Amino acid sequence: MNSRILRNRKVRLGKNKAESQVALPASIDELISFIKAQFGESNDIVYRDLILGVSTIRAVVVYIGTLAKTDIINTQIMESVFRMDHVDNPAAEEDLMDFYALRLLPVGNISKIGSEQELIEVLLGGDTIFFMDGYSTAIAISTEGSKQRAILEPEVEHEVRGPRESFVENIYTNMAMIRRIINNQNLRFLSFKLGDMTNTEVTVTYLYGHADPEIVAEIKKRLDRIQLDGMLESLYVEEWIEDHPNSVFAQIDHTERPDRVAAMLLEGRVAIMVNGSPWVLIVPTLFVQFFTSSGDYYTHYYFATFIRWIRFVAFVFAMIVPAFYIALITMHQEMIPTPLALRIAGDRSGVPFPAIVEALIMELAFEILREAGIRLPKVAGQAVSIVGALVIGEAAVQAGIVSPVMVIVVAVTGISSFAIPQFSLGMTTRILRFPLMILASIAGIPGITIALLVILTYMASLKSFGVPYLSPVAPFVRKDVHDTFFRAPWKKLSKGKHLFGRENKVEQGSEFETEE
Amino acid sequence: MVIKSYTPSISAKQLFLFIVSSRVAVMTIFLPVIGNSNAKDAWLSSILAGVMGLAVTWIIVTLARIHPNQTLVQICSSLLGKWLGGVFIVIFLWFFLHISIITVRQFAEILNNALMPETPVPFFILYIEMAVAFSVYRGLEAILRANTITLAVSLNAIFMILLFVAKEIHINTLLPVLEEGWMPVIMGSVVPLAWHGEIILIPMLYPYVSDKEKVLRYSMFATLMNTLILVLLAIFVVGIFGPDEALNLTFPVFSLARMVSIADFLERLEALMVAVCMSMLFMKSCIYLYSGVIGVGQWLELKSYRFLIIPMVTLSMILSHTSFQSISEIKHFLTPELFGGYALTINTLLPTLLLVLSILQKRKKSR
Repeated sequence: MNSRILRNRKVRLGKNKAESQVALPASIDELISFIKAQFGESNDIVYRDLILGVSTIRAVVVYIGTLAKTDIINTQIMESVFRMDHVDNPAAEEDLMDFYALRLLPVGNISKIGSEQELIEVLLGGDTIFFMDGYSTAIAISTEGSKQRAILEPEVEHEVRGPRESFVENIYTNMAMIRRIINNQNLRFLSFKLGDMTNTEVTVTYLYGHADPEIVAEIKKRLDRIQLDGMLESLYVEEWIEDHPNSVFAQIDHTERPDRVAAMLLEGRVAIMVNGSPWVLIVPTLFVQFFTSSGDYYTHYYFATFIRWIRFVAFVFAMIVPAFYIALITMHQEMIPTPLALRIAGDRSGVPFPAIVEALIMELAFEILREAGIRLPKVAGQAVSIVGALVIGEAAVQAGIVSPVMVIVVAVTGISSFAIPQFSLGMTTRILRFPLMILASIAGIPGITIALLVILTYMASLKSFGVPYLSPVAPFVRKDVHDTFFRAPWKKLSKGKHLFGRENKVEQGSEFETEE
Repeated sequence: MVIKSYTPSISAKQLFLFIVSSRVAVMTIFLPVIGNSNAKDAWLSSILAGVMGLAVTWIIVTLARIHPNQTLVQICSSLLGKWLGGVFIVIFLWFFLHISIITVRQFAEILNNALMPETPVPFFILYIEMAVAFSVYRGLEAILRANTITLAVSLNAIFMILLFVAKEIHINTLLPVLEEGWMPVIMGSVVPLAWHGEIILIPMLYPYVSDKEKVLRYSMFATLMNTLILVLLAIFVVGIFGPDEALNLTFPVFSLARMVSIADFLERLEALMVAVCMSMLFMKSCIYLYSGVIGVGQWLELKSYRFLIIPMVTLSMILSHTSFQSISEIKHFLTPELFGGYALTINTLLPTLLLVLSILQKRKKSR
């Protein structure tokens, strides 16, 4: 009977599970001294001694004041415990513990615990412990609910149209947001405890029947491999589970928008949420995914397609514009139309540095400004980084350190890298830009072209949980291509889930090894 | 991390795209049909080569279909035994390496010739081979996937350029047809046919194809498509420049691209052409080197052949530097007398022999 009412505690994976369970002591003093020994001198643990009703049974209520919701404890638990004498006394044969659990505590979630490990876990989860002298079990009452940030508008993935809520740090709130969007029993949450010290809750979310079970199993396998003391941000998980940890390319998409997560789940992807981080990971990730934003799906399809092309162009610009300019200036002057070439030559005549040095100075200055812009107070940040670049550029031109065209080049590059919706891919272009610039100064346009071919081959070799990174373009998957270079109208888009161009098993290996 | 063995899986379509790109690369550089005295009938030679190319394609793909789970190297050793098979294998592997050498050298020469005349050719060879080594290291799937993307761009660029210069063609320069009889036409078709035989790579990659039943259809289609492009290029080059000038051009198709001038704005498209060429040549040298590495590994029955990449690349680098003195020497090598005989022996005669042998063996078994 009890099991019907008492909730089953969440299955928690972790190292503690394997340890042997020590039963709780039967006396209050022992229990209190045990808790005090475990938590040391921390002053946020509240012990409230009670004498139960007309009897002389001692009891104690223990909770962590900073995690538990005190008003629940005051109004629900305390009141009902003290009102016990108004209620009929329990029959002699009835267990007093059950009596309390079944009749007296007006709280939804309660459970019985019998071991010291569970006790600590429950306390740390924000629950309240009710313990009576002479019993070696305690009742855990769900009172979790510490202060949390309000749900605000997304700051990074801002859209003109669409839902305006973004994830918060609390994982339960985030789960609730997704549940509210996908009202279906097939939405599944798989819970993990990661981080040996922080015991952070990590949840794998997927739509049963939509997501590939093989991918879900692989994610579970990879999460189990994680060995960390602390799990403070979803990036920790990202670096542990991505297929190519040393790759400069972003391989796992992250978002702060519940609607984007929901859309991805509906496509058969899997989301990974980490408590304490408003950024939710989405796997498997395709390269084209970095060029999409949830706004694409809330605007008319031809406009969304246009915007998507703007982003592709911006990506290419952010990567090769400075390198291309250097190559043209140093190696292939004849390719520039003559009037422009003369103009550039005139502007450059006073500049003492070769183009590559000029470019490196300006790019470096721009990167510094950008980084400073992030650290500056929010109001001043953007203004300083953009205007600062222009002002410094202007001054540098007048001082004759750089040519005006170079300032344009750097500005175009910088702005372009902001036009890529997913920040992590913007970082990839920021890194790759520099080797390309150096190659351009050594080997001109062939240098850039061959480097780009190598980068393309490299990207084609990447995989995200068995899904080729460049699919559905290469390998070409006709069924999925309706959401890449263009966004198909919703009438066509909604049909069928994505196949992700999966051809192979999730496992990785080298082609150059024979099978044994 | 333990390195697991992993069988690459490619599709017939990717193989098809690769055949196209490796052939178009050669066409856009030298336009091999215009090697002989009668350039007017180059388009006829192309068609002739295409028709014979279909037969060659059928032979080679049928050979692969009889042994669906064996690469060319394994076919040789299982059919001919250790020693005779070894000789065949060495010939084939040398051929792969040789094609890769020629490709890299052409690549370097084009970069030197068209873009950066002051930079020495060996520098480009070194740079290309480093890039090739890296790409081969990433594996077959990666190269073929990348090729899918580059070829789509390349073909569009080529057709765009052809469209832009179409107004310059003078059909009269192509007439009269068959002025000097059939002999020059037949001679002119030898080198294109030899290049059609490049699909000798199919038996090397066939075991990795996931949809094997489509390979024959797609490779026939590839040969037809290549023939179409070759005919178009031949008509355009001869039609625009005339038969005499066409013979003297080093890079006829680049010259074609140079003709483009739209509204005094869209000019110097040969840079685009060079980029197109670079992408195709790059993929081609990657695949040939990959086949060489895999082939050597399978021949010597090594457990792991990743370590072969660097030595093979180094060898290819040294040989592509020393084999030829200049671009004209490559052009001289690629004549019907030299390259035609050499390549046709290896990529047509030997596979035919192997095919006959395997059919005989199959009959023997069925009895």
